[in-house]
Amino acid sequence: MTEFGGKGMEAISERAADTLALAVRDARKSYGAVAALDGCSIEVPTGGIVGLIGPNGSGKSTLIEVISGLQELDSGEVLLNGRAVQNLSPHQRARYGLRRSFQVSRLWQNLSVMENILAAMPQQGRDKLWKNYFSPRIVARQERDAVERGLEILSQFGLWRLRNDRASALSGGQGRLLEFARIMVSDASIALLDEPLAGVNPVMAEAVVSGIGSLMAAGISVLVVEHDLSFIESLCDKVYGMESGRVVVSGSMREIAATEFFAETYIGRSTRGES
Amino acid sequence: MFQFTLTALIFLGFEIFLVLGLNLQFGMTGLLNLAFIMFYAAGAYTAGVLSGPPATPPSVVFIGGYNLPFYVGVLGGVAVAGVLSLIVGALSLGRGLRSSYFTIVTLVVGVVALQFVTQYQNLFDGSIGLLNIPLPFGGGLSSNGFTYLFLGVLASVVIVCIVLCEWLRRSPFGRLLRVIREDEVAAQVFGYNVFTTKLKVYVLGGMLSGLSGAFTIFYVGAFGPGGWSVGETLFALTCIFVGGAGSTWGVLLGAAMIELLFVQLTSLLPTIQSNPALISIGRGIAIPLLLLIVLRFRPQGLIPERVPKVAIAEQPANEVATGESLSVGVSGRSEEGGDD
Repeated sequence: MTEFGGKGMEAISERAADTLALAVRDARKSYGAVAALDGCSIEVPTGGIVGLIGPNGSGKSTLIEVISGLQELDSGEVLLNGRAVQNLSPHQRARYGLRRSFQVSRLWQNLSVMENILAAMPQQGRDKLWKNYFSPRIVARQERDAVERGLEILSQFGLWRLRNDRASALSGGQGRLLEFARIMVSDASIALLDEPLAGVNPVMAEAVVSGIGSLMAAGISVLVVEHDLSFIESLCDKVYGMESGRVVVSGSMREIAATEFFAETYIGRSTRGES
Repeated sequence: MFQFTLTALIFLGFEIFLVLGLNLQFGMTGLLNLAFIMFYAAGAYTAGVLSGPPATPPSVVFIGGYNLPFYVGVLGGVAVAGVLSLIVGALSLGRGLRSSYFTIVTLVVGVVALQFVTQYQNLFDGSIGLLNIPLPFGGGLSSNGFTYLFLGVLASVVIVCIVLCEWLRRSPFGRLLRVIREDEVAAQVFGYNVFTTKLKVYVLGGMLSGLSGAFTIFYVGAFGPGGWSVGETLFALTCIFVGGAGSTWGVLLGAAMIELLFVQLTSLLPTIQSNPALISIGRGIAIPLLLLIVLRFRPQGLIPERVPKVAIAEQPANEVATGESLSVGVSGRSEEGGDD
């Protein structure tokens, strides 16, 4: 098997950690006897976009879960901007700029689109109970500024008209855009996108790609898991291929397409000529 | 009849504290706390032992009995309910405990606490409870004068609590509570400490419950285990469901409707000699029936929680069109429609 990294990825490059937005080193996670992650290592450069592909059950989603802290690692390291965060809770990791989306959108369904945006913004203490009672003018001013900023973002993502709708009224694609808009306003430095095209109709797919472009334009580093290889090829300079909880190939999508891993996993689903 | 109306309003006041507190926890944050009434009891018992006379053993046994003023009893009741909420909340809201388990834990805590207080006589005189708690404001008032004054004080505190709860609901902190209710995992992903936020709400709700208990014992003059069964929590929950979970005005309407129409007004019906319990039984059937009807035909409640709107007249010229977004208009959509 040709590997553009493979097990060799364990020997992570010698680049200084602070040039990486995200690095995962030798991550291991088991569910009973099943090893979901078996020494997985990846890295996402600051400002870059990296793809993660592989068959179902290869450990992609588990990797996203352990990076975001929703699952605990058995061993290994997660570095955010050079800082080890594997022992921190999800909300503490979020304070280092880590955000994620989910395979099934996790919007705050009974809140309006605008409220989803406002809640995702840095709160500057507005979410503190007593500040709302004792500093109402400051909170009101901050809210006004936040609404103004929120309207700009909603406009940028084509959701301005829907600002007063409940998030539950959005289509799959609009929901994805709202997820991206939330990430955009939240002072994120890295976003983990778990199958952003899941549940999105073809008409909206282009808007979703454009939304990811907006995140990158804002300087947010992106790790994206997706089964649609043409999507990955069009967006990502570097791609990791996972199998059985390990990274088995890495490189550009074109390089990966020439590997045995690709032939075994995606035979009959070649991306050549699609993009 | 006038006296009856005043009494009914006083009992409505007690219920309003409860529904406001439970609405903070359940309606806004999604915490189904079946031990809620335990904090009501904590407030009532604490107020009773602080402001009541000492026990007269061996027939009557309980702790305290300090004859302290009314307001000390109320504040003490609220404080103890708050501390107890903090302890129970810290233990039951821990990380990893899913909401259904939280509900079961609170149910168990509430039932165990009721059994403990009932069986352990030295605490609050067991199954008898506290009796002969003196009326507040001294003894110089006529019966009517006492009722007016009590209602006045109660109404003032109720109004303050309504204003504070509605203020909170409209604030960014209130939005955070709804964020947690809708999806707490997503809340964590955006940097919110869900545990401490829930704990704050748990304590606030517990204090409101304790406030209700403290006022209750001062008006009724007695309080025992019969006053704080799990059924009392379910009663308050019914008010919330009927009125509209998450909506301050909704839960107030629910409390007013059920407490005044179904509890107080039915107490005026003449007793049927052949079956004196019939009215009570009928009430026990009618209230759950009302709940079923509301859940079936108007699950969002009579006054549903509203989504705050941002009123902006002009659409920015630079809005990106996303294909679908333009076809899904917002004008004319009812917030009370079936999107709940």
